[in-house]
Amino acid sequence: MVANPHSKPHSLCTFIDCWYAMVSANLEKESNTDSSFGPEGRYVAVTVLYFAKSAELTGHRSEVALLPVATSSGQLWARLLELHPSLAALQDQVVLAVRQQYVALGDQSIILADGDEVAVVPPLSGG
Amino acid sequence: MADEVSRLKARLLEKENELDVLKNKLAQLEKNGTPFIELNDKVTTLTPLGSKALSNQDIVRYSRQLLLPELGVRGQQNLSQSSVLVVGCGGLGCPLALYLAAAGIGRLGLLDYDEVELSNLHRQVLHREESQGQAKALSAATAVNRLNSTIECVPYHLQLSSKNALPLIQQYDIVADCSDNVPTRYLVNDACVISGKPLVSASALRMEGQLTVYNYHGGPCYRCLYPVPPPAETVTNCSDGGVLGVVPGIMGCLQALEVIKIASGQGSSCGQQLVMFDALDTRFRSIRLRPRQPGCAVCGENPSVTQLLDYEALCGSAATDKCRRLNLLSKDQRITVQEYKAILDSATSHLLLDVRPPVEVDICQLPSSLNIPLTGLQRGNGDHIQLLKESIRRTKGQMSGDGLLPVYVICKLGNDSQKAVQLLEKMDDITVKDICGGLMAWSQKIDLTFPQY
Repeated sequence: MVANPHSKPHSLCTFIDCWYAMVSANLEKESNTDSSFGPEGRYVAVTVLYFAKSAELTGHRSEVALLPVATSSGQLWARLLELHPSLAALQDQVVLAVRQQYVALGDQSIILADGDEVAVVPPLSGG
Repeated sequence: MADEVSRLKARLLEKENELDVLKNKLAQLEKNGTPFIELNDKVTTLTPLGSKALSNQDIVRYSRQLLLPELGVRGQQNLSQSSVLVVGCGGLGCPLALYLAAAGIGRLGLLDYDEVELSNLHRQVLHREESQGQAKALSAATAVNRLNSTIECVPYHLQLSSKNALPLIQQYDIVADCSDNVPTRYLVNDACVISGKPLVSASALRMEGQLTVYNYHGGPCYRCLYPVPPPAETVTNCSDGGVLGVVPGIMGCLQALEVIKIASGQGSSCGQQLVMFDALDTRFRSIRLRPRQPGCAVCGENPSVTQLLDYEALCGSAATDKCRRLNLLSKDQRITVQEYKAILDSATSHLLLDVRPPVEVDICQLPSSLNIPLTGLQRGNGDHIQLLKESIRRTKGQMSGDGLLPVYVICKLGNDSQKAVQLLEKMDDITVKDICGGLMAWSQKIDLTFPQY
């Protein structure tokens, strides 16, 4: 499984995502062909971590999502909004990180690989 | 000649004032055996911290850290010549102040507008049971002074504002944001950028913490990261969301570490990093941040914010973590706790709907209330809606006549119950009203034995 041990499948959808990623990764290994193609090119299984308010809104602390290999930070956020429309409440108030590196929401291009970590980090203000 | 005379007079006055302060301190010490700590209710002018060699007592006290090549005598002297302003003497500020004092920071400004309450003590570990009702700044200063009487503590019992923030912050070398609300975080950030001070900022809620050093060596400021304040209704505070006491404890200790590294001259490595602590998994993650943003409203090339603003207006919320009081309903959609008590006493048929989350219902509840959390109603949870309809049908069956069933909605403070009334208004067969002030009003006005939380 490509997901890191931190992530646990929380829903059927996530389970199917995991399974799909696993099967496609195996196929790739065996036949050396890219099998997981979608409308935006090849897809990879990425672990998405939700912190603070975003975990509350999505009901997940982490999940595995299939995301296009070549994307932009804006498209990545849009994809997460599709998965969890409730995240719209955090629009403009969130730090998005890919492989523990800040990405500005916009047209910054992003190349994802299997097992990459995407983090959604809203600010905390308590003390 | 005249100049000399007035200069000498001024110096004499200064010395007389100093004498008075010393006499007061001595009197206090002789009377109570505790040192006199003056609580400031406004910003005062502080004398610069002088340099002095380590005494033998200092060498003994700090010996275990003097042995570290990373600190050494030079680092210790730097610490003793540094001043740090701690904004907020709560869950973060308490451990931070404690370790800074222990390490021998020269001057510690301790700011808090609030007083000590029993519900603070699980995380605000400088305060004691006897300090309830006392200004937090004074309680913290007293505790810190017991640990290290050789450092200077300046407690401020005041709310940081656009008026006092700059004159205060300009007198300190480093600022630590230990506050508990969004407006104060923007205010402290802007004041630090305008005064050119590094801002060691931490926050904590529930089982998570965050830490970053802002405005430091070309790194971003808080506004570079969060240019737009969050809508007030999306912000959860500790009194609403809860927090495990040790979580701000850990974050406050991390803050102390970064302050000590900056003050001693070693420098912080968190200037372009967002450190996140996940207490559930006991795991730290660091996100590499971008440098200072040229387009930032306060630290950018052409800043639009060059003086402090009205931060409560900017953020649409008060600079406190006390819960907000919403007013979503008209007067005839609400009843007081006294009115509800009368309904109970007259045994009128009705349904009491408690919309708090189950974790709060476990703490306390009124007998015969039906618990359906607000989130269940908002998401249209099938089981919850079914349960509600079933309860309405059953209670209505016990009513004489076939009028509408009165449903009264209650929660902790009377905010969520209003939202629930708005959701239920259109339901058939019922009239729905909210109980003003919720269970906390019930506890204050009707049943003093009902727990407060």
